[in-house]
Amino acid sequence: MYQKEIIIQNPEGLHARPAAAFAKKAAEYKGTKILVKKDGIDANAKSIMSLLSLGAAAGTKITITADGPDEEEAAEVLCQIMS
Amino acid sequence: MNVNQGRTTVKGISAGSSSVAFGSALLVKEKELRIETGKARDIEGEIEKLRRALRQAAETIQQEKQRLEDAGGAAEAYELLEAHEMMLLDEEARHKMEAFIHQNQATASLAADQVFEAYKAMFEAMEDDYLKARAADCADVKKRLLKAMLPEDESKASMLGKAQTGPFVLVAKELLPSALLSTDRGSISGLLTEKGSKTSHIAILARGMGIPAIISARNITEQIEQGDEIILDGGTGSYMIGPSEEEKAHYEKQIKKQQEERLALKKMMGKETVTQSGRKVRLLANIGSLDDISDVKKHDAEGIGLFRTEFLFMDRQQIPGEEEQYKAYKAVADAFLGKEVIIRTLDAGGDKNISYFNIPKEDNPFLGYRAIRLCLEREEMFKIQLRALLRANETGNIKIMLPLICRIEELQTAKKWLEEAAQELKAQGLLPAGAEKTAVGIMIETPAAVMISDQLAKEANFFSIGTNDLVQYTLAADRTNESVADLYDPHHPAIRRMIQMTIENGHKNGIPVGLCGEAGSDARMLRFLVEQQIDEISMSPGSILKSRAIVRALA
Repeated sequence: MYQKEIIIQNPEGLHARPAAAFAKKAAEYKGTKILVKKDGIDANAKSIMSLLSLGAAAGTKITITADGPDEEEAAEVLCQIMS
Repeated sequence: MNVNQGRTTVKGISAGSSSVAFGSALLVKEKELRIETGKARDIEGEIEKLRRALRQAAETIQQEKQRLEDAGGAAEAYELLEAHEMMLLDEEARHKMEAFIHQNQATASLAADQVFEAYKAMFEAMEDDYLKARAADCADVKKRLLKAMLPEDESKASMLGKAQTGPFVLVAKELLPSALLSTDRGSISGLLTEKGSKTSHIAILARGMGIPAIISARNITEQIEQGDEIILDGGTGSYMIGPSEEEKAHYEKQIKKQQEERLALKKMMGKETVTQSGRKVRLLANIGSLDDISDVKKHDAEGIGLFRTEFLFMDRQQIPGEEEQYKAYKAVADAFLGKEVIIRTLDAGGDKNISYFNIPKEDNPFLGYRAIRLCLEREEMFKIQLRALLRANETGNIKIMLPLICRIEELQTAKKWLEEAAQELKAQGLLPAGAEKTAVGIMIETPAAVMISDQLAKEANFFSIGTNDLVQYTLAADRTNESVADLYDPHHPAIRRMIQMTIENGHKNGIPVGLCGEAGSDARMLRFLVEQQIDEISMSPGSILKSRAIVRALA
């Protein structure tokens, strides 16, 4: 399991467009389970509905947890999208 | 109803484009969507039904996207469809619906209803306005899914009677975005509905496709029969059923004129903004968020004349950080490489209140604690914005503009802080080459600034006349107060003299002078400004091509 904490820098926060890009990227890591945690709530990184439900604005702290064959690469790439 | 018989002009609310349309009525009756609440007998069958409906609904959106693209629809409308498509393809939504079917022995339609209603409620409860608005997407997506679950013959036969040849005006109680984009309806010239709002998706689509739409037409579906001739006037929001030959001729002429105008505007793309005698003026765009960029490009602006940064500071709990601001400024600078991008520092206060500044209620906010006054009392906050602007100015196309300057000291202090911020960045190795000589200009929007514009011109790198405020401060007339609306007149001789004086003082000192404000795209004002040798005019993106056509016709 690989974990990384970041602060969302994208001015739009985790809104539809960035969330869509994020979910699409996450879905590329088929065998890896990826979660986004905000204030103790987990969201499925591969689901836009789940990501939007976090209501994460710019400046919010989130933790990305990846578990699976590409865990490190997945977490790092996804962090880049958000920062 | 026959032509010439019982014709009426009725006023509704215009929500689409402002053009005029003529067509025969095509009554659309959306099939009643069914939600089967009983226990499902065949669970696997329901799962299969759900998956098929998801696939089919997503395919429909694919076709709609294609059609929108072919019609040259706006980016906003396209993104709307993309959002719906993603919701339909969403992994979590599908898992939830499948789990609902298994756990409750439920039908596919009930699962779709319950899961998307729950999402809708979740978004409605959110504070963020953007996310709140996603509730409407959930409602639309749910309807799309339920429609895809109807038996084939029912979902297709959603029109009454056989359609003749178009153009058609769609008439319905309420329309879904798909009504405008489904491929089996021939050419659609307008929409007339009983229900809807200006912010509904169908309205956004109609505007994006340049189609007039009139909403809140009471009982329209009972008054109109299939094939009735209808004229819609999107400019006034009125519609007429069964026009006379005379009226038809009148409107047909107007429609033809519109089409010619649209064509003429298209021809203005890529052309230079220059008068017959060779005098050039730059036409720039006013924008208020990063979302406006694609619209600006579509209207061929020659740069950004006013980027309002307030959006970064609003609807949130604390001041945005340097990194976040830097990204936003850089995104605009990158989008218009080689063109100028004038970014205005925070213009909060007045009518744009920001909660975390805790500005006490003022009797007269427009004459109060706002804009540069507020920033000069918050050195740390203002320097963050200045640092972010400098860092983003990699290629040197960003210019910084200060709002509401009344005293020369205000400009001098802001410049001093900018210099300090630049030195700090340089010491940290963060100052890009392009930012070394970042231009600093000011808004001329108070009579005081006009009167000392000769002195200000020696300190500023450019002027931009902000007519919205200059007019109300000079004529003592609130532009939002209807009782004095006729006094708010940008053509008042006092305003003309002020504009003249500002341009003269700017040019005497060798700095460019522009104007940003709604008055700038007015034909009379344009002519006056060009005569006064203004260098650039910034306006809403939609006015640029029209203004270019006006300038090119000037002597």
